[in-house]
Amino acid sequence: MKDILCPTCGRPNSDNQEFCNYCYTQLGPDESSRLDDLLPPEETPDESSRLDDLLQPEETPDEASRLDDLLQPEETPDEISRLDDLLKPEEIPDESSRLDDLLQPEETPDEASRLDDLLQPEESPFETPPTDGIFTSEEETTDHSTMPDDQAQPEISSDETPPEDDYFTAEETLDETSPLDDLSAPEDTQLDSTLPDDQALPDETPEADLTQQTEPLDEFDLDQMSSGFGEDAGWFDMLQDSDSTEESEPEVVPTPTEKKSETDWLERIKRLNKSGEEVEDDSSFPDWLSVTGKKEQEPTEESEETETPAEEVPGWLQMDEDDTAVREFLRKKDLTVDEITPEIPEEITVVAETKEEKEPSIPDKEKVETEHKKFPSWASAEDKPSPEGIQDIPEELQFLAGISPDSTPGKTVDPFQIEEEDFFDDLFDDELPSWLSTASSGDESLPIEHEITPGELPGWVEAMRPVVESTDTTGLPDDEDYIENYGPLAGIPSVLPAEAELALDPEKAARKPLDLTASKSHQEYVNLLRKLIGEESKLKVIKKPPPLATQRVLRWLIAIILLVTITGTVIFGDSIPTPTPTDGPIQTSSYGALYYQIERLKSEQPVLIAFDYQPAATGEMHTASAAVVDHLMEQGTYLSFVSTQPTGPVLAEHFLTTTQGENAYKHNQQYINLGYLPGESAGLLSFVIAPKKIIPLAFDGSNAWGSPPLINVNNIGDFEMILVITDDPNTAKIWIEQVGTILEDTPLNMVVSAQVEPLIQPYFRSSPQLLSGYVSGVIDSMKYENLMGQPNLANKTWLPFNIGIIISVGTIFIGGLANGVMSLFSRHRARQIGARL
Amino acid sequence: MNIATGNLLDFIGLALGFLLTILIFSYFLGDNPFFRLAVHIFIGVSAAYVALITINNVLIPRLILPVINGTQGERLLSLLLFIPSVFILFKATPLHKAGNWSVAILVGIGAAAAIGGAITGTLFPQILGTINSVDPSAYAITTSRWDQAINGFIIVVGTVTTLIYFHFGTREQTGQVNERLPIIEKISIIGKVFLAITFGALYAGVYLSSLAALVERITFLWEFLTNIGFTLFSSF
Amino acid sequence: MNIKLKAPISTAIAIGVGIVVLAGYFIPSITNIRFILLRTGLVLAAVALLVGIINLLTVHIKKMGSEGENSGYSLILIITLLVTLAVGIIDMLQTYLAGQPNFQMTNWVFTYIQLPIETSMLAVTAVSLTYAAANILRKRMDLFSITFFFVILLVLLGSFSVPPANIPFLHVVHDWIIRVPALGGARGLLLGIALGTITTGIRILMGTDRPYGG
Repeated sequence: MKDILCPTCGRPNSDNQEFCNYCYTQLGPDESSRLDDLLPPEETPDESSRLDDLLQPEETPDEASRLDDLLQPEETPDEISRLDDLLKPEEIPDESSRLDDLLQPEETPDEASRLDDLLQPEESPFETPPTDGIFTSEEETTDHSTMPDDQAQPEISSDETPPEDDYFTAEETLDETSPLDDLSAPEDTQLDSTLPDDQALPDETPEADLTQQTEPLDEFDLDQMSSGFGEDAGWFDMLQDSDSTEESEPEVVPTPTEKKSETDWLERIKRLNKSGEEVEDDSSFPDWLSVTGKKEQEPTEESEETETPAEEVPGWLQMDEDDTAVREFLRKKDLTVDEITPEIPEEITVVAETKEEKEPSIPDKEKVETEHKKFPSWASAEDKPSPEGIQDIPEELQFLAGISPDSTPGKTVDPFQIEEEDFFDDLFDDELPSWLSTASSGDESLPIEHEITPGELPGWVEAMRPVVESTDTTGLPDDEDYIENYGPLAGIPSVLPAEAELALDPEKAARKPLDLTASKSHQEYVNLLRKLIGEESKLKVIKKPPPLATQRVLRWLIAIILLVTITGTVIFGDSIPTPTPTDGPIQTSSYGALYYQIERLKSEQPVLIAFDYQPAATGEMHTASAAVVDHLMEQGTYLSFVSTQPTGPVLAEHFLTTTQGENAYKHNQQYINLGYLPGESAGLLSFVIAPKKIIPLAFDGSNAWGSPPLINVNNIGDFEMILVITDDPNTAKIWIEQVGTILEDTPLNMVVSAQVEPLIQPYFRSSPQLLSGYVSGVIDSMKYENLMGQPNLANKTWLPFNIGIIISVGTIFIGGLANGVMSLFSRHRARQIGARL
Repeated sequence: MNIATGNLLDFIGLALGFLLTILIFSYFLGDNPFFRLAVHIFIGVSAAYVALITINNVLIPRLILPVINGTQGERLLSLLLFIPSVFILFKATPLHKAGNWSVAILVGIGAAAAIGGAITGTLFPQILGTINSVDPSAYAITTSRWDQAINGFIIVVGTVTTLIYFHFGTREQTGQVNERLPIIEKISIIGKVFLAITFGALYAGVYLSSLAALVERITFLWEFLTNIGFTLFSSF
Repeated sequence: MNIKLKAPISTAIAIGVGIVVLAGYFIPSITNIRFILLRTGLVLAAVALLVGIINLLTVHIKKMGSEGENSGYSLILIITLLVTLAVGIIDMLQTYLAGQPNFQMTNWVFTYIQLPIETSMLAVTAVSLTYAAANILRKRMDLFSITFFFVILLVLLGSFSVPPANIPFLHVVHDWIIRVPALGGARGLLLGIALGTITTGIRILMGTDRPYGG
């Protein structure tokens, strides 16, 4: 009798039982057939030729083949399905388009198009059960294991391989790749795992599963996710020879992202590779791509600290962390610099020699090693670059091969510090349900273990999960077959054990070095890229260019013309009769409305005037408001001054002294200066409610409200009129919004600077009319004075003001025209030069 | 302005004002130490003046005097006001975090006042104003209805397209372009033209303001010189 | 979505105070508590100004200590600030001791130092604005720049009114630009600002934005 492992609790049950003895979960034998879906029946060689041009098998075949292993799209169907689940365009079209945007086909057409393919259901119609994605990295490798060695790789290096696949030499790596490599390799293949693989996966996913899978997507921040892909693509794009990739995949469909600027990839790089000011070391990129330009740090013994027993918590249980995962991740990327390359390079480079020596010193690794023994032979291939290969590499190319110039021969430096796995982890941990979450660090998962029991696995996940007998039914060799016997993946063969992943600490395992040797052309690209990145990251002190002599002369010329003409007009202008501006319909004009309102005011009626302009605008505001205030004084109104600017009270006094000397208004008898009202909106709101409580004392410390006209003023509506004198559109807006909306019978009027008029005019023409009338600048003031029939400051300044206008218009027109013609001419000349070239 | 009738302090003040104006006007020749000197004097004076006004016009009458002369309730209120006021002063010290809650009061009030004002003072009135501009019943009888209808239509188009020009969307992700529908993009181009007109009008307004200031300053300089000349001549 | 509240007390205060003030627009019965809060905000705003000035002083004291080229200017700034403060304090003392308002010295400083400098700075911008307007088409020549350029010219010309160069047609064009297309654009601008203000305000009242250091 064979045992069936319970999908929920993982305990064995006899095969004739329909329900688990321990947790009463249904043990569906029919589910086991899905396992076959997971196993790629064959490999598509043309899919595997993605980085062909990057690798030179002649030089370092082992390295190339290892990269080849990492980049086998067919071998990571679960990854594909996971991305498929996330990126179904019919469900999340916007998000998928964003993903499109993030991918740059012009830089990585193959990557982008493959991801595009993922977004098109007709091209990737199948959906793998989402549980496949739980242990993505393990499954990737075990998918390899499900294939015979002669199917898994040989096509790449065989004669049938397309010419562009020449760089891949998989055979030599089959027996050389270490188990450690395999654990970390899937991390590297995160991007590549997104490749569609129609052949590898049967299209048997039930529709119900699809709908169930899409539910959590609503909660998932696809922006973050897509940005993660963007980073992925961006990271990988740098390594790609665009020409070669285009050759390898000529069927690339252009996506809208082609419109993006060519420097987008630099932004991605910069995002991944944060500025050197923020971090000491750059963790997200290898040395040769590092913005900071700092060397990788030597490995440390951190793996032991983070090793977590496999029984503790499966990584997929991690979920519902902080929603700022991406930021945290990006930050963490730079904070965990020391953890980037630590022991892995050493393990890789000396794995063959020192494996036995290390095992006793690190007891936990025994378990790892035992687990690795279940891996297929190719997966345990040694990753160590052959000494011959290294020797073959020219010195200037050695950095590409991960050979540190100052390191001992054979010692490699991690050229790709890949953190995409972490990134995806962080992304998925937070927003996705557990079934989409990948294993992450054991430390974080510890507390969750006690919160989420296996029995809490959603029913639909259980329904989708294949359950097979624990005995070998796959027909695979024993050494390639490993069946998970615990947790939700229980019963699934060819699953990399979580124990191994956790014991090794996936974060560190992810940073396995990827020794790479590239062709000359690739090196040129890399050098160019490095140069570009270096230039981008350098702090450039942009010196202010000294102004051209012509520009300086032009500025002086303008200044001289203006000064001379205006001064001349000021000196001699008195003899020229001052004209009056053309009058429009006064009744409907803003200044006319104000004029007639003031005309209706009677003596001793309280009027509130806000002096809310800056001292800089004194010249214009005094000119603009002199006639209006004069008009108010002529009507005999009692004026109360207030200001939301600290300088307002003294400006009010200055105004009275300089412009209204003839009226000789006396403080407390005919006007009161209430002083400064702080707080802008808050101050005005409180003043509207109870002005007496808010400003109990006048600016000079006297009783503000003792005068007879103000005795009955209890709120702002008790004033007969409010006049705001301001040069700031924002201040005008605050008065209108906070005061104008509350007033019922009291009109709100303004005297504003010319620069404010365009923005307050809508309030004069709004419905209801919040602004009853206004005078704008010198021009309206001139009209107002003419309406009053009493020349005031506007009349005095009118002529020099107008001369200044006409001189300015002439200067601007001539200068603008000349500049425009010169600009056109220079463009035309540039075009001609361009055409010649 | 007649210096002859003023006192010495005013004369010194006017002379100082004249000198400072010249220092600032030296910027016509380009940035120079005289200009910078005047600017730094200005910053120092204006900051101190603001501090004085704040202390004299706000803090003393609202915080100190009620404690001394006020009723029991006023004293209590002023003492209560002292607490957040003291804490907000921490913002100028290394213990600036202690003042966060006081700033939170300010921010909360400011945000609420801004929301209320924007809704009641701008949003609804401007929407209604836009609608009324194409409402024939709201047209004035003094001018041609056709003129008003065309102008109203232009105003509506300007308002709507300018509003469309503002990209209200998701927060821009790095490396990601928030694209809009092509039709919306085209409409927003019209909005951009209207914005160009509005900003052109604003620029002209700013120019007129600065021109008025220039006229005022030149007038001041000339009057000062005239008065000096008048004083000098009359002394002989 | 999980929101991490890093400053729960400040956030709660901001939200609570904001909601009360906002509700006061629609619920008259809470006017009293709203008024107290507004009054508190008024005083705090004034104190915040002082904080800003203290900060300015601190920055320039530090700059003065450094041997930069602007340390001399910082010294001048500090001296003028302290002298003005001293003058103002003397004025205040005289006022409160004598019982008679007397801010002559402070007003003198304002009238003869601050006012001329500030006004002159705005006056200087006239030349800069002329130069910038003349250079618009050199730097960029597209529909918007051309529109912007000619609107400036038309509005300025429409403001000009000196015979015999007075052209009534330009006044009509000026008025039309201000009243019709500029009004439309300004309305859109104001509505956009209002919507942005509401959004930002709501974010603050929801605790999503915490500009007070949360």
